[in-house]
Amino acid sequence: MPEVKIQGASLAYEESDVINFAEGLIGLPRLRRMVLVKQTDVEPFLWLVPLDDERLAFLVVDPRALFPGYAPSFPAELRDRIGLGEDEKPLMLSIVVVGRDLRSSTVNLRAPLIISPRSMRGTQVVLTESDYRVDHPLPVALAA
Amino acid sequence: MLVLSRRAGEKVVIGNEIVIEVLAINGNVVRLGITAPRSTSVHRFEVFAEIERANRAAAEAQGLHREMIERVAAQLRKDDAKDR
Repeated sequence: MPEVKIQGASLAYEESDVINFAEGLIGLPRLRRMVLVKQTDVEPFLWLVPLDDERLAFLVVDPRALFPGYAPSFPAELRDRIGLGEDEKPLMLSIVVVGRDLRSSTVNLRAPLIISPRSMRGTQVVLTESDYRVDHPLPVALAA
Repeated sequence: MLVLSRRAGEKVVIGNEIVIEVLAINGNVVRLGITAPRSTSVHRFEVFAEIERANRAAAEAQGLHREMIERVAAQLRKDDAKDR
């Protein structure tokens, strides 16, 4: 089974786990093939590892798990772009920038990654007409 | 860089499918109309640049201290539990 290295640890993935981003990510157009891998210690974050440059890796999270009200509306052509079926629910991930603690960590709610689990194609969508921030603070529910 | 002068109402074509029209010029504000295939994304540059910066910063997550990631993740999980 192929593996990716995350901070020294080898994590196995299957070929069928590879997500194809035809245009890469914004500003990183060469990162086209990515795998999502899980490490219990960093949950609810997941690692998104570009196979095109394995020195890099993103920490991502399902924004709906952190912000239950997060329900952005997507441009109409999105379904075509990633081959998302009419009845298919997309996988949604937001890229996290981890800081020293929760308060200094942010999540990009403005440009989420939208993935069709069936076609395994994904894209980074810019929510043009929205107030969601690129650097939204992570929720600090009761840390007064 | 190609530099062109255009008046209000005039257009520029990029490739075979992208047309940019100068709709109006008011002082130092230019209103543009952009016609492009649906698959071509068009963004204000500042938004694009901000996302690019965030992506590049986030891409270096392997270089973060492991304890820092685990600490933030744990803080998040705790908040999750309190919510329920």
